[in-house]
Amino acid sequence: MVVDGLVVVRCVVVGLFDMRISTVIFLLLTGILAQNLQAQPDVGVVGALHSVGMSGDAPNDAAWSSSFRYGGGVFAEQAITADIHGVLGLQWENRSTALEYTLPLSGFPPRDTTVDSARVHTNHLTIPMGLRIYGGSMHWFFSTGTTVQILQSASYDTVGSAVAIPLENVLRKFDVALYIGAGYQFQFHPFYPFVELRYQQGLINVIENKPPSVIQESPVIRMSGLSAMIGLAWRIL
Amino acid sequence: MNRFLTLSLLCYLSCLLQMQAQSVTTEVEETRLTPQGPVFAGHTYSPIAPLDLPLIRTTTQMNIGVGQTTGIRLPVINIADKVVLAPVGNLAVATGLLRHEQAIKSWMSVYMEFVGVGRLGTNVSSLLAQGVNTSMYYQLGWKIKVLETEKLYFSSGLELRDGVYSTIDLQRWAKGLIDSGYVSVNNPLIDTKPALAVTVPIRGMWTLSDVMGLYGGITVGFAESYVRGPEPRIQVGAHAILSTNWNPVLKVPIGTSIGFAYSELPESGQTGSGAVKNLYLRIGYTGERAFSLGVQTMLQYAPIADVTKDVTFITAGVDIRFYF
Repeated sequence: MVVDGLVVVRCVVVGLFDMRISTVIFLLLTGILAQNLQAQPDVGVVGALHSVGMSGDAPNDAAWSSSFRYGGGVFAEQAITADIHGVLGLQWENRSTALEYTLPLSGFPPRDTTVDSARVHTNHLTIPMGLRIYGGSMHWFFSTGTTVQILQSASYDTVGSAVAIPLENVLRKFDVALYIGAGYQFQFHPFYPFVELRYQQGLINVIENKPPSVIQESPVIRMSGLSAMIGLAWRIL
Repeated sequence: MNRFLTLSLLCYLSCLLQMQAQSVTTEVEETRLTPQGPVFAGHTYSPIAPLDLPLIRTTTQMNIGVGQTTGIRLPVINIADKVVLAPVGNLAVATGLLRHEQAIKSWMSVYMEFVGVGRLGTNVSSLLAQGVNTSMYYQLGWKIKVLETEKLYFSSGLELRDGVYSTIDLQRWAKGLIDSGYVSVNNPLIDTKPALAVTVPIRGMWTLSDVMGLYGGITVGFAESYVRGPEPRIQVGAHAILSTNWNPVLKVPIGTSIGFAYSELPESGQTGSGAVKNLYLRIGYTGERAFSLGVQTMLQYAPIADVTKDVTFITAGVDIRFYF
């Protein structure tokens, strides 16, 4: 982990000179992976059902509502101490957020109704980097860390229309989120299946350029939500 | 700039975690923690809400409070170049907090809290002059023990606050209505703004004896404004509390705390910019480690938009904490 620390410090210093963020991430990953390869980590696959989407400013009388979508990828896990493990992953995630409008009272008995008017679809390459802190039995664990999210594609469509309008030039390419979660790991050596529930909160306003006119001036929108994950780790040694 | 700050904060958190990781033995740590309460070095602290103790504990907290200003003179209201009101009135404030902190290890905990704050005029004049302000947010926090000696305890970590700040500015809305002659989406009655803040707190405590202890802290954060336009900015805060437990000398399970807090505010159209200064007094029950019950009052000096002098709020509240 000393190597990781040096790499992180170097990344921050390099960031001062405005180096591209992709270069910073590359250096960070290279440092961590190089150490993991030397130390024979657990490796595994993970799948996720998540409700991560946009939150924040929406047009008047409307609100964002994340839909359940999916994702998956690979990860490596390395023990730092007996009960503290570092985790590095690479995942692909599909996300969808609906723009819900509230219609005024109607029907009998009269009540407000909500309807989806548009949906924003995004695909991300995500790089979760964090720690798992295990309980005494090595079954339950607490996880926390950061996720770098690289936007691959983005579009929106209005309900009832088959035309998808690209949004890549509106949203930021890179986003960073913090996450916390908890999970349970089964032990069938050398296989370690696990389940995990994770909440993540985006730190960066994902709006880069002026969005379509349906959203107000200077909007602030971040990605946040819950993920339910299931995975299988394989202990190499 | 945002990326650099984000990386810097993550680097800081990573360094704290690695410091702890190196100090932990390779044996699996016993994670079952016994309820210890707000006790350190023999002194039972009476913690003032929302000024958190540095201790790593599993605890659930509820806090509610209400208060009002003391006879402020609000600015004259001009609409269409005519003086409409020269209001004298009060502002009422209500707060609510629900918080859970979970100790993951003896050196680390995470917490989540939900906070609601509302402020509104208590009569037509002050309502028209100052409108209604509400702030609803949640906060995620990571707390990591940095140092523990016989009498001293220090912790640090990271806090992430995300919320929505809503303003009903009746005065601005009425002016806009008169100027334009119609209701427009560009002049909304209710204006909401999401705001996020990332803060690094450093907290410490020093037990002087079983009767007396000190705790306090400083925070440095990066916060978005409550209104659209201004750039996010760095904010600082500090607090210091003297806690006294009278049980060892008077055999009465009562503790008192007095404290002071200074906190810079995000830029806001209604609260004005500047800093809030709070004076606290808490009286609580100290006879049990499993729970802590107290009543507290606060005298707050806060800047208000268009009011030249800081306004004085007096609030009273109840604070309950359960320790597990």
